[in-house]
Amino acid sequence: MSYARRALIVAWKDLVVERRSKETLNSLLFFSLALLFVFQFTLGPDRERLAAVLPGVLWLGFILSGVLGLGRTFLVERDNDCWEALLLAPGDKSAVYVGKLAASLALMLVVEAIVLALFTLFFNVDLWPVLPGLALVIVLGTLGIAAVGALFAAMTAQVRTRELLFPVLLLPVLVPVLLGTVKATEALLLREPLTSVAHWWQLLVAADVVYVVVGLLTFDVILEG
Amino acid sequence: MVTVLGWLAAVAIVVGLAMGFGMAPREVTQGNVQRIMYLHVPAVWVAYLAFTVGFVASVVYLARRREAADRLAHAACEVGTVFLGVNIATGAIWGKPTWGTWWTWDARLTSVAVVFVMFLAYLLLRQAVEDRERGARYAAVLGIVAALNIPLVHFSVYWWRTLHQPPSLLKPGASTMPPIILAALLVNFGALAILGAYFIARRARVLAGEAEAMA
Amino acid sequence: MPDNWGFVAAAYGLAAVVFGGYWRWLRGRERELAALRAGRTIRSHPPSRTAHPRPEPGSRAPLQ
Repeated sequence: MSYARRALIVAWKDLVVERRSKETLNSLLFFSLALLFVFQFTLGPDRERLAAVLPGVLWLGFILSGVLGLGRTFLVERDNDCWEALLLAPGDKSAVYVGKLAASLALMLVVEAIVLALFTLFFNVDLWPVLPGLALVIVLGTLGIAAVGALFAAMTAQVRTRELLFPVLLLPVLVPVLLGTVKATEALLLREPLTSVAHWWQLLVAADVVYVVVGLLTFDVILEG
Repeated sequence: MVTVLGWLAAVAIVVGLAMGFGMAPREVTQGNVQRIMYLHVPAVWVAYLAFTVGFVASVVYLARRREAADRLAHAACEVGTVFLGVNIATGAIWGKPTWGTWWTWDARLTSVAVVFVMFLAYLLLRQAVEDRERGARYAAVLGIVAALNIPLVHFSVYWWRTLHQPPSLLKPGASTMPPIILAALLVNFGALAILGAYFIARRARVLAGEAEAMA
Repeated sequence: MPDNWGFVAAAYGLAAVVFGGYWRWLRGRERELAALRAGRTIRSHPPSRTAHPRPEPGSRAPLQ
């Protein structure tokens, strides 16, 4: 069975499980909605203040949802006694990593698209002119989050203090990604020239390359036992 | 061997202190509070050196599975975190009289704070995983990710603080440092580096003893 | 600009406390391990009743 096929099977399995149970999707969505409401309450009707903090709020929502969702990505295997199946999977186990990464990425992007639409609706922001650039930032940023998240999720799946440890490991490492995405989003929303955004795109691409390569190279090690 | 390092460190520290307080002059603009630099700056250099050692040891462990490499990685990352903590704290103590504030979100301080938290997480992971062999593998992966992340952290934070900001807000470069101050800085770096090596060696030895005790 | 020697003392004092504390913690762990090892060897070689009682290997203060 080829590498790509194995990765696809893992991704497809996760997405099908999610489509049936909608566990993760629901909690991510409603968490982001709660965030949206709370920020409206705290920031009130002040248009300018809202516009200034919108990038940060948006990515805070994305990353907190990501922490919630990603932390659970291997629980499906752990809780259903399938962990050994992962360990015994033939061939290069990084195919499992690619599958998990793809599924998490797809899930997060769906949630982010919905949240983005709701944000623009409720906060009356005009995103159409910058949508391509913004889409690129969101994809690059989410890829980085998912790449590190999938690796650390596998690491913490079998640890007793998983819920505590996973965000502690994930969030400091993701500071560059958070910084890059927030600043790029801000620059785009403020209609700044693309050259200033280019820095952040480059940073995100560099980070993504590092995280995915390390993930691919070291995932085998995590799944040794 | 470890004891020799220890005594060497003690001597070097005394020499460093003598240089920092005796030979180095009173700084023109800041006054004597600048002498904190002879502790604060070498501490971060030693910390980052230690993290590099930890990175190499982690890679070696994953490649060869030698337990000594795992112990070195653990010891180096732990000692690096201690030195970085000292760097942050002494930086805050220097900042209060000089800048008027204990903390500011400038590029260097922010970067170092992020790196510090990353390696605190490393130590937490070491504590959380009970199985020795699994803990070694996981920590090696985290050590590699964290070390590779250090330049990313620094670049992102640096760009955050310097893009759209006039150059006058940048910290002045240290290129015109009087040679005597540079000398004092380097001697103190040597002293703290020896102290760091001593701590790493001793910590690795304790880890070896613990492994033996569990066997 | 005032000299702020108090801050200088605080900085170096803090470093002394941290490094000294770490050093003492390492020494404490070494002593625990030595005692553990000593306990083991005594248990595996029970002293004969006629011989002079041997001092425990870990009880002497270490040279460091």
